[in-house]
Amino acid sequence: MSLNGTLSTAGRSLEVFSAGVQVTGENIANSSTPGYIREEIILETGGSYSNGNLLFGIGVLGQGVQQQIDLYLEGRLYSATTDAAAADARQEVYGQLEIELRELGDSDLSTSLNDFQQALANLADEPESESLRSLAIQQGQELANDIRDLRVRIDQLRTDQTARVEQLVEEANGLINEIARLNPRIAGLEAASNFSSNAGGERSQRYAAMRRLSEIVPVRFRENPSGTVDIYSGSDFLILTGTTQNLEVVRTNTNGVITNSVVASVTKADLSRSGGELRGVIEGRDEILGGFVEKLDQFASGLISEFNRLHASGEGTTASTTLTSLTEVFDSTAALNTIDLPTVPEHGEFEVKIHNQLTGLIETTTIPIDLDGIGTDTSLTDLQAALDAIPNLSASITPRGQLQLDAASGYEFSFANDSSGVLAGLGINTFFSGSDAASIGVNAAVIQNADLLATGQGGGPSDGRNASRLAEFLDGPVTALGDRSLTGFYENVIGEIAQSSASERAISEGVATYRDSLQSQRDQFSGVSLDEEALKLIEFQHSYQAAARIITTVDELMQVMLNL
Amino acid sequence: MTIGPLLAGRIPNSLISQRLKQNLQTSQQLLARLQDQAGSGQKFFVPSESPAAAVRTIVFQRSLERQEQYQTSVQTSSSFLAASELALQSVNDGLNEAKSILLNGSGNNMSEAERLTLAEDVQALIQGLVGTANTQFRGRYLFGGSQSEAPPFEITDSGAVRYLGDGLEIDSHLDSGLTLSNNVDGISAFAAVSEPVLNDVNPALTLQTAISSLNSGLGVELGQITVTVDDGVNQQTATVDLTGARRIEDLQTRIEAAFAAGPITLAVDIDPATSSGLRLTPSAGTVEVADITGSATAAQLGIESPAVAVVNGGNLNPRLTLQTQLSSLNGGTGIGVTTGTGLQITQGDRTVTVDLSTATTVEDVFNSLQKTGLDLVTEIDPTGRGLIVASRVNGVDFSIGENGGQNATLLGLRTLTGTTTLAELDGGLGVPVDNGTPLHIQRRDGTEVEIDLAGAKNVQQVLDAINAVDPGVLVASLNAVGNGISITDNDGVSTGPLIIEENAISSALGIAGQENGTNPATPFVGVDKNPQEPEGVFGILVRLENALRTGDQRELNRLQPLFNDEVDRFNALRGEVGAKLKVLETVANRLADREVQIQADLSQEFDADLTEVITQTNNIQIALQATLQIAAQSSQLTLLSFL
Repeated sequence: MSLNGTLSTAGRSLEVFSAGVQVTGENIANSSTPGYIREEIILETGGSYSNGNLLFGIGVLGQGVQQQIDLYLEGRLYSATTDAAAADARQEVYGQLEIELRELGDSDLSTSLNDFQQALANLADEPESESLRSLAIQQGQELANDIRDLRVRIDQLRTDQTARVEQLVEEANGLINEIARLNPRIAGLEAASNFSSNAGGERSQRYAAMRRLSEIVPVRFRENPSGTVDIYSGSDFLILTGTTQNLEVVRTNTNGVITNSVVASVTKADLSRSGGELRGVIEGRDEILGGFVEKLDQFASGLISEFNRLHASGEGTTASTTLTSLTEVFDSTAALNTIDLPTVPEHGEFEVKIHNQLTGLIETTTIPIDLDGIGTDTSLTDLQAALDAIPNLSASITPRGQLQLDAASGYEFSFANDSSGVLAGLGINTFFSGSDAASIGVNAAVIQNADLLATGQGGGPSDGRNASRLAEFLDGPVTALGDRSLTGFYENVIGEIAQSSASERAISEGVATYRDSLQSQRDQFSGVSLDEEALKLIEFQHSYQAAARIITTVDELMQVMLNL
Repeated sequence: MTIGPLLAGRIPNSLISQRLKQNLQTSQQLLARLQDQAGSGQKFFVPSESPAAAVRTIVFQRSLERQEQYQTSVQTSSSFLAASELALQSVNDGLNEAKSILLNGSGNNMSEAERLTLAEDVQALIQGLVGTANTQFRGRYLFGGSQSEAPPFEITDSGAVRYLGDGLEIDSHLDSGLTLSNNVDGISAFAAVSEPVLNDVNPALTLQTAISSLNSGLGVELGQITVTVDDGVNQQTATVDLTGARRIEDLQTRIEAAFAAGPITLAVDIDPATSSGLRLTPSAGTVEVADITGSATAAQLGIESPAVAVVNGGNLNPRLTLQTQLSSLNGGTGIGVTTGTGLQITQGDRTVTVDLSTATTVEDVFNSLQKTGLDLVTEIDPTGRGLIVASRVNGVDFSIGENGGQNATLLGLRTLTGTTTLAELDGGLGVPVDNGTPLHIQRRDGTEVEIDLAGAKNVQQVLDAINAVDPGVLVASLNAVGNGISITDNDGVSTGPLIIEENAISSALGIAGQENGTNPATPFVGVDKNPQEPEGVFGILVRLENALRTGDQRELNRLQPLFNDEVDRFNALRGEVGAKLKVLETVANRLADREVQIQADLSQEFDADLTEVITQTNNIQIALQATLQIAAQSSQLTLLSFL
């Protein structure tokens, strides 16, 4: 028996060593496959048998092929990946926002604001100049366009983020399904083996899927004895013993921009803000971009409301014969400060001047606006009645809720000294139209007739008193902006974005460094070293040669025996 | 991108190559950035790369844009003022020429033909100067105020000069907090409207009076006040927020509303005793008004008071506005009967009666005046005390008198009143009351009286002196219609003529002459010796031309001091314009200096430092080379090569 026994031991050795070479070959083949986990063949001394008084070993046994992975490190790597992906996405959004703002260059909003102010100041210097007058209106239009454009671009960015959320959800679902598909296969392949990571290829695929999934949403995993994994995101399961839960997109429409959030398909738990790229993208869209849009709207409505207030109290070089207010009021009997006007009127008064075109004489009437909350407050209907009572002026309310003013033939009208802001609120004798960054524009009447630009306060063509006030206004405090000037407010917004963006970048770099150092640890532990594999190859080769040598020796011995 | 630490143990090839990749990426990224910096000259490209510097950069960029704006404004203003100065200089030359004509024409040894030639010269001069005053520059008639689109001066058919502009300044912002007007209006430049008679018409407080017009237009800073009513049984304190009130009636509404629930109510109205303050009357007991700490609202409204039965507020002295009711003028007594009366206005050879019977506001009065077609400036005095009505026609007389009532006096517009000083009369020559000559009157009963007016300073004192002779019989008063002094000598019996002997005094007072009618009630009506006129260069020149044509030596003599005054005024004016130009020059220099400073600051924050860029590039280049070399060498070393 002994020669046969030796032969079978050597034969098994050959098998095992060639398997070792195969594993090494696999490792070398995958040495540059990203995420590949090196494998090792696990060898074990075989059992023994006794022959007489002698106890013989039966040689080497190949226990199995094992992946060299640190599961604890893997878990930490996933959570670091999640954090890094979130910070990265936010930083990317900041980056895009900064690019859209185009600050520090010549095509940013602060430049067009300055250009507008310059045009007004130039006009105040030479109020009689027709070309400067048109230029001021043009610059006003450009400013309005720039604000609207910026708003459109940011809205587009937000829509892009929404689309990205959908892509991410789709991808995450693909990954979840992939893991769910791999789970039973790994369990099946490994069922026969008493060793845990035989299905190395499938496992590598599963790790890669989990890794990518951890970039999108936070991922925690637990491996079951059968080789399957359960996956949780926060406190919600994604895969739990064969049950999977996908992500679902819920669409909502806010302010004309379609946004969405993400929930789990079964538990309906909100996963939008749990972490990962998904959270970064959604926060970027809602907080960073949404926050900026809010500030931009605040800026635009501050500009519209306060500029119009000044403009409405001034007079152009021509008076009006007919005028329809821009703002449509739905409840004409409600007090004027309770309805949603671009400028909220307050208690006060304004003057209406009726010009006799023939004699040039002016009749001034003061219209009180009672909004002190005591007694009856002025409504649009009251205002219309008060205006209609002025000789040579007729006032009516259109079916759309606009105030319609018409002077009698041979007369014109203009306005002055509006302390109530009601003219600006209703859109009478205003420069800007609209109410926020999306709707800001220049009053069409002013564009058509540049003489309506209120440069003066009742003097001749060179009366630049109002233009002077308008030019100064952009530097003056605005109540709606917390007593900051428009320029100051905008600079502050830009400063905040720059600051947040910079700190976001620092955070992003910090978490990325952490992730990379974990990644480097993983690579160090699980990556393929060619030299090491070469060593193993030599080792297996030599062992194989030695085992073969034993077979030759046994063979010779057997020949000797047969020739006896 | 930072690189994590290496642990002890095995080093897989993938790790080596990945770290090499990272190293190369980092170096190349730095290089690319340095290249961008060198290429664009910018230190950073988006604000977040250097937030603090970026915000400063944005502020500097804005300041720079603002500086450019200020520089443009300075240039614009300089060009306008320089053009105005040039025109004023040529007017000055014309004025000097006219003065020499005046000196030539003043001698008695001048033939009529010579005088007429001189008059023609003056006429030509006027035409030339009107042309200068109508100078147009950059599309603006320089001297029209805000009426800059039509020539502001024109010569009337009668040879006078009419000013069509206004007195508005066109302000230009030259620096933060610095405004300077870039025009000289016709009123400042040429004194082209008459000096208005200005009297305080003292408008009464009404419920419609605007808060902002109180205290002569200073307004009241509205805040919260504490009002306490106490009748011994009930005590009630309310803090009333007056912020945002616009009119007196708003104050009334708010204070009354605070106590409307009782038990003690409070009534607020205009104090009828003064018509100039507020009155707070509780339904019972006393009322106390105090300011809350830090506010002076009650004090400024004149109603701060300890506990009293009625608070009678102080004089709030509202400013006159276009909307002020005529009935509220003169402390609420109004302007007298307007039916059948009104104003009588004379401008040159036109005399117009203005009917005020339908006028209710100051604006109505102005509109009634403008409707007459006379060339008038009508506005509220900038201090808000009175009405201004002035003549725009240079070279003709202008006066505002009564038409049988008191309207002109009560509107503060009458040009000859009791308070008119004697020195102003007779075209500024004055009444020689102190040279020993008395006023000589032959009365209707044939007796003669001599009235010594020595020491009299104004018209009222003259009237008083005459009235003291025979009180109730010999009565001197201002003309009922128009302006001037009327004298009645009515003892009920005598019907002889009333003769005021012509001498220096009676002529200067405009009362030389006689009333020959037999009705003693008929007064002798004197003439207006206090006509107003625009006293500028055109007024003087037109009068000079007329005086030369008519050979009026007296007028020529009168004009001489006026000429000197005008030359002085003109020099002062040109000095002002020169000072403005000087300010502009200073500002321009300052702006230029500041621009350099801002550019330097901006460059400090924003511009890339090329030396640094190149040094850094060298460093990175060396590091990159070393990395590449080590990588190339170490990748040669593998066990596989030896198998």
